[in-house]
Amino acid sequence: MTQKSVFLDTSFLVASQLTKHQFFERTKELRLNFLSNATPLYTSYLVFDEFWYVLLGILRSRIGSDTLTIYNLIQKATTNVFSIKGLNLINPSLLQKDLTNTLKIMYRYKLRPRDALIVTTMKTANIKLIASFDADFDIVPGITRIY
Amino acid sequence: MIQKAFEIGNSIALTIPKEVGIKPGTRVKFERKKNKLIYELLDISTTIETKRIEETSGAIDFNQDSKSLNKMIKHLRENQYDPKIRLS
Repeated sequence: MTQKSVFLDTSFLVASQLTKHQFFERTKELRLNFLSNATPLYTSYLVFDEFWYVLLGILRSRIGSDTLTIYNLIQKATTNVFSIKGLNLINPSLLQKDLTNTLKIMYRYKLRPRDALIVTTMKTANIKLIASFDADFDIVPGITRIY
Repeated sequence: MIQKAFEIGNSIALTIPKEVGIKPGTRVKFERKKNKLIYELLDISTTIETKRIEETSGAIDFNQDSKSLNKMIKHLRENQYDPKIRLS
């Protein structure tokens, strides 16, 4: 990966698909910057686990049991994410030592397991920048947050 | 699309639909040719990119203040997995 590669975190993707999110407009500005600078973008399936869960929770509370509508909206949001120009999926094969190290990251920086796995994924892929509205990543050395 | 020109201060204005994807601040060049008013976009690449970003953002749009939305997102992130939150 290049020095300017950026990992897109769940909070960025969620904000990009909810028009009333406080950072909705900011995601569009950042995407324009990424496009202007031809920034290589990455995310992983781990991010979709939380992306789908958060959208599902919100839509369940707003729409109720109309699951077809919920399904269609989440599908539209997912298609939108896949349409982000320059976005690639990375899923590095993590070894036992990587997972042991993830546990250390969780302990050292008080991160949730998924966030720690994202840090490990980024470090394995040599990505140093993360587009995120989650300040929890700020404490991790070698990772710079873009927001 | 037919519009009526309207007055703003000492100027006469027409609106450009948002779907066109032109952002405030986009530079345009104006020219009149007989009964045609021609606006040429000077930042065409940015405009196309902006339109594409607009088209692939905001799949979910409902009335909710951002403060309560943030609270809900925070709750969901900190309480995975609620057995009631299933797609079907």
